[in-house]
Amino acid sequence: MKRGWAPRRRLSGFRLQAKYRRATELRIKAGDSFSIINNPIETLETFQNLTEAVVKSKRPVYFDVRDSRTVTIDALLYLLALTNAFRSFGFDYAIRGNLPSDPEAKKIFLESGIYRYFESNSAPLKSNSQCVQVFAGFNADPRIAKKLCQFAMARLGVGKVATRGLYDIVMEIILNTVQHAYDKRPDHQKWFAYARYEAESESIRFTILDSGLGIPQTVRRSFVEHFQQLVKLFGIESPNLDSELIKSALAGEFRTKTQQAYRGKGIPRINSYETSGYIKALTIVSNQGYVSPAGSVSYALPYGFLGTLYSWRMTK
Amino acid sequence: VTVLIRISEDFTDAPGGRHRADGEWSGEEFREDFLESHMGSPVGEEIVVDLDRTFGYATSFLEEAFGGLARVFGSQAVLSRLRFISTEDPELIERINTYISHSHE
Repeated sequence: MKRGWAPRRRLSGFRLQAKYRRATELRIKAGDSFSIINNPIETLETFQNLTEAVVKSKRPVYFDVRDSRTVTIDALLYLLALTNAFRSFGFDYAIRGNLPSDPEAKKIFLESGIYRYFESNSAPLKSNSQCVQVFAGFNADPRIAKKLCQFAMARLGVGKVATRGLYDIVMEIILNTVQHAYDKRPDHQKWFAYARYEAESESIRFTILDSGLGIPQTVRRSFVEHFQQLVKLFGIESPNLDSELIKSALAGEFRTKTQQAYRGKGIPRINSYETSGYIKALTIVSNQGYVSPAGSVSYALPYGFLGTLYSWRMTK
Repeated sequence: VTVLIRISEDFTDAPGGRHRADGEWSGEEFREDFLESHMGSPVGEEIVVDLDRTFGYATSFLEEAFGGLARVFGSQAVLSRLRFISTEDPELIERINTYISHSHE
């Protein structure tokens, strides 16, 4: 096994310019906890540095996760989604990297299939573990939701009826991505879905993310109108606008961009599964908002997340 | 006369999203290809929809299939003609009836 990785797209003539590359390469170091859901501010700052290196300074990057003792899959999927977004926006980039030295963190990196996907020019995105499922897609393919339900049935030892809610959740998230997340970039609609069975807690951690517009952006117009009215009436200001927008979408308080009231029921429905206890630890990160309804945690992020991340846990 | 539509056998066990453009097995596809043809038949024909044995339903699928049907034929007409079976998830029937009743909101 090679000791480093690099995404399949490289700068033109990159291999021929190794000497130049080493001289100009920018080293970006991930934090002790490389996790958007657990350590969002530091992790998103790392990604902000990566984005600036690619988009603004156009320098080759060495992404250093050697000292990251904990890694969650959301950060790896976001790395994948970001490089995908760089490509779709026409930015040429060169990113190399290493693996965590911590065995458990390294295991998460390797079993996800993302390492192999990055490292190879031809490998499909596919997990190499019985405990992990990983998918990428462009449309609302019900077969993916079905496969995730079958995975949950097998790992948690439950029947088909017990995973019907999971089917609803996965389909609604993917539909939101396809219908709203990319707006004027329909050719770049791509989402990533990941499920990992964790034996110690006998649960499955699900993560789905896209690198589209984000929930706040898609509901902003109607909210801003409403919010401006509140500001005018009460003279209040909120530094936490994106989180408020996400919470409002979860509560079903806003119409979607179609302005049809019968639309926009999907996100509130996802929230109802959390409220009823069907799923646990639901966390949503979108643009500059971080919301974890179960713990009533929400705050503004200093660094934006390009798109929307959903993460939750499901037990038997 | 009663018409029985078993979604898992007659349509799919993995229903999709709202519109045909979203991908396969959408609520729009089910409404247009299965429900609307029967709704257009002589009054009095009861349409029984068996919801069991699928992997589940996206909220968008249900709203478009049944709420969408009410937007075409009217809520009362749909409620009087359709009957649902769901032994696996009886709460599903309440949700669908709500989508039909509030189809224009």
